[in-house]
Amino acid sequence: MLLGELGPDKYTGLWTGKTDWKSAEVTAALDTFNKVLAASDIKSSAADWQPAADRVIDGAAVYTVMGDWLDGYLGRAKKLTFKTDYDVAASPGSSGVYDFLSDSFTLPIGAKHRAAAEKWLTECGSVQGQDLFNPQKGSIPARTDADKAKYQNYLATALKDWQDPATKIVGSLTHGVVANNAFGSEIDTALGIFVQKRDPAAFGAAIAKAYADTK
Amino acid sequence: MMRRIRAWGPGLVLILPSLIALAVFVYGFLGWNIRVSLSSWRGLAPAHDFVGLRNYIALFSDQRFTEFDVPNIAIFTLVFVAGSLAIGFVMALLLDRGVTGENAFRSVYLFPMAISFIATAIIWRWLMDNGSGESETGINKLLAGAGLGALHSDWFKSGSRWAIAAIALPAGWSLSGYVMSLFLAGMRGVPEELREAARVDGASEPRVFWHVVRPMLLPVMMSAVVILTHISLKTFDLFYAMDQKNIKIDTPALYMWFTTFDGGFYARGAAIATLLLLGVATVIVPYIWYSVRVERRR
Amino acid sequence: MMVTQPAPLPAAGIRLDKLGKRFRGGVDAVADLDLAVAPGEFIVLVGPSGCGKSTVLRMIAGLEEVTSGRVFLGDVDVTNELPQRRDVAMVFQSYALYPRMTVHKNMAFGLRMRGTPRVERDRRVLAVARTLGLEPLLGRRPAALSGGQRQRVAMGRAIVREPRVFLMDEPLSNLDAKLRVTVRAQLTLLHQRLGVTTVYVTHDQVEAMTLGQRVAVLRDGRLQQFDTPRALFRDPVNLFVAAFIGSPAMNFVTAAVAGGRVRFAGHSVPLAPDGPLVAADRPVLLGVRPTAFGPPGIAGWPQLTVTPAAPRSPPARSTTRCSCPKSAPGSPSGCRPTWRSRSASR
Repeated sequence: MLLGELGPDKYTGLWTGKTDWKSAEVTAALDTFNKVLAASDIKSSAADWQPAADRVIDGAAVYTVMGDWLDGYLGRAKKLTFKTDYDVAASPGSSGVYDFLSDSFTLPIGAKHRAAAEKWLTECGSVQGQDLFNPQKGSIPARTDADKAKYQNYLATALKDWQDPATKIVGSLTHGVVANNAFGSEIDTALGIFVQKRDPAAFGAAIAKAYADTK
Repeated sequence: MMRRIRAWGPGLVLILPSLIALAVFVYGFLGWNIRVSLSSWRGLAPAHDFVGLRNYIALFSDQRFTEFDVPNIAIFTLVFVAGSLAIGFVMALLLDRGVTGENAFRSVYLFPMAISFIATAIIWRWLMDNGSGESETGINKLLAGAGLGALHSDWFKSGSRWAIAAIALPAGWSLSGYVMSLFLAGMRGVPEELREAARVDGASEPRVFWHVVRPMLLPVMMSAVVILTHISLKTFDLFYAMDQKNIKIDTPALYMWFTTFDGGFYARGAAIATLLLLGVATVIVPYIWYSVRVERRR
Repeated sequence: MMVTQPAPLPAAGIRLDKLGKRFRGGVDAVADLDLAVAPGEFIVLVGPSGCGKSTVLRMIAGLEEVTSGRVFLGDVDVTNELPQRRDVAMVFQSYALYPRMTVHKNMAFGLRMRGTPRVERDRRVLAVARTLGLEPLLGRRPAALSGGQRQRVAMGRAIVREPRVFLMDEPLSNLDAKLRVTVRAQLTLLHQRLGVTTVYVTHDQVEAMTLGQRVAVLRDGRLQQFDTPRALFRDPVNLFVAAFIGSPAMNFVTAAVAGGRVRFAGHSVPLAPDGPLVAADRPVLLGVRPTAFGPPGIAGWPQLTVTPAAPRSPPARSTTRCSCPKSAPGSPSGCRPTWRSRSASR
C-alpha cells in the first residue's frame, strides 16, 4: 500500500530515513490502507495467505495481494490454469516496480564440511540448479542466462518484468530485505496494534520512533 | 564434628547433584536473566552495561505490553482458571456419585492433558475457525447443524476485547480433567464416616456436601488455583500454535519470545521474563508459605 | 462450681423384628435378628469381629439398608426412614469429628441442621461442655485435641442433640487401656443420669460385661444369647457363649457322666442330685472357669495338675497344683463356678 501510494523512491526512503513516517503523505497512504482493510476480512495482522487464497478460489473474495509463491499453490496444489482459472495484475500504483526478496544460504565460519557445502552452493547457483529449483517452487532465477523456456505462464511474466531494464526494484519488508530484525519486529508490533486500532498517525509515530531506536 | 558429618553427609551427597543443577539452571539463570534485564543488550552481541530500570519503565509505556498483553493474560487466566475449576469440579461431583465405568471416564477426561499444547492448538485452531458460508467448519458448523447458527462466533479472531477468552476453551479442555481428578481425590479423601455422622446429625445430602465435604476440599482448590494460574501465566505454545502474531491473543510470554528472538531485544525480553516471574511468584510464594505453615502445625 | 443437670431425655425403646442384611455377593451379615431394647436401657452388642454387630447398629441408625425385617424406634417403624429423619445420635469408632469445625461447631452441628435457634444451641452446647469438662476446648479444632478429648467431644456431640437413642460403635477402642477404664466408668454414670436408651457395640467382652445392663452375643450374624451379664456368665446357652464370655477364658475337658458322678482326667466328682446332668449317663464337655480354681489343700476337693495354655517364660512350662470346686451341677456344657458377678449390684 505504501509502495503504491508513495511510489518506489519515497517507499525506499522509508527504510533509509529519507521519507518521514510522520509526514502527511505517509499518513494519507495509511488512511487508504485503512479503507482497504475495511473492505477485507482481515482482522489480525497475523492472517495467513493460504486461507485468504482459498477464499479467492471459493469465490468469496475478489483478489489477494501476494507474491510469486501463490502461483505454485494455485497451479500445482490446486491444479488451476493461469489465464483461464486465475490471472494477475500489479497492485494499484506498483506497475513497473518489482518488490523483491531473495532466498539465501549462509555458510558458517568453521563449517565442518566446507568443501561439500561449497559444492552445494555452486550447484544451487548454477544455471542448471536454478532451472531445476525455481519452476518447482514458483520463483524466478536471479541469473540472466537461465533457460526462459522453463518459466511458463505467470513465471514468464514475472521473469520478463524482472529482466526489463525499465523496472524499478524495491525490497520486501516482510522478508527482511529493507529492515533489520529489530526494526522488523517493532514494525510487526505496530502493525498488529494498527490493525486493531486503525490509527494511522499513531502507527506512523510508533514506526518513526522504532526506526530511530533501532538504526 | 565427625559424627555430625557422618549423620547428614550421605544425605547431602545424595541431593548434591540436584542442588547443583538447581543452583545453576534455575537460580543461576534467574539471576542472569535479571542482570540482562538491567542492561541495554540488543542484537547478537551481549552488552554488559547497567541502565537501571529503564527497560521496565519503557515496558510500562509500551502499548503492546500494557494495552494488550497484560489485560489479555488477565482475562485468559480468569476465564481459564474459573472455567477449569468449575468444569473439573462438576465432573468430579458426577463421578463421585459412583458412575459405572468410572475408570474409563476418568481416563477419557485425563487424556487431553497428555496431548501437547501444540497439538491441542492445531486441533482447536480448526475447531474454532471463523470461516462462514462455504468455508464454515468446526464448532460453528456443528452449531449451525444443530440449528444454533445464531451462536456462530469468530472465537479468538473476533474483534472483541475478550477474544483471548476463546483460547481458554482448548486450555480448559486440556486441564479440566486434571482438576477433576484433583477434586475427585479430595472427595475420596473425606472419610465416609464423616458423611455418615453428618447424616445422623440430620444434614440432608446437599448440606452434608456443603458443611462437611466442601470445607475439606479447600486445600485441593488452593492447589488447583495455584497450579492453573501459574500454567496460565507461563503458557506460550498454545497461543503460538493457535495464531502466532495475532495481537488479540498476545501475552507477555509471546511478546518476550518475539522481541527477544525475532527482534534481538534481549534486555527487554529479560525484563518481561522478570515481570512474569514476579507474577508467578505472587501466586506461588503465599501458597508455599501457607503449606509450610500447615506442615509445621502438624 | 455449678453443675447443671440436663433434664432427663425422652427415651424410646428399640425393637428389631427378624432383621436381616445380605451384602452384595450373597453374604448374610445379619440374619433373623429379634431384639427388644427397653426404653432407657443400656445394652451391648458383642461378638468377634465380623459377627455383624456394627451392621446391626448401622441398620438402627439408617446408615445401612435393611434387606429383610423391620426396625422400630418406640412405636414407629423406621425401616425405610433416612438417618436424618430418625432421632438417634451416634458415636463412631473414629469419632468422625468434622475437621474444619471447632469443638463448639462440631457439637452444635446436629442442632443447627435441625433448625434449633442459635441462642438455644449455644446454651445447650455450653451446658454439655461444662459437664464433660470441654469448656476450655470449645474454640479448638479436632486436630488440636488429644485422643481422650476427641472422644469426649464425640460423646458431647451426641449428648447435645438430646436424642431418643444413643448408638455407640466401639467408642473406646482408640483409647489407651488406662483411659478406657476411666471413660467406661464415666459412661455408666452418664447413662444413669441421662437415662437414654443406648446400644453399644464392642468386640471386647470385658467392656460388654461391665457396661451393659443386658448383653447380646452375636456370632456370624446370628444372636446367640441376650441376657444380663450375670446370666451370660453363669448360664451360657451354648459352647460359643461359654467360651467367649469370661477372661481368662473357660477351660474345657472331655468328661463322662455315670452314676451321678462326672469323671475326667482320672478324677471323679459327685454331681448335685437335682441337676439336669444326672438324668442320663453320657459323655459331656466339662467347662471350668479359671476363677473356680482354688489353692490346694481344701478337704474334699480333687487335686489337679494344670498347665497354663499361654506359658510365661522362664520357665517355658510350669506345673501348678490347683484344686477344683467340690461339685458342679448346672448348665449342660459346664460346671457352675462359685463366682459373683461384678455387675450383680445392678
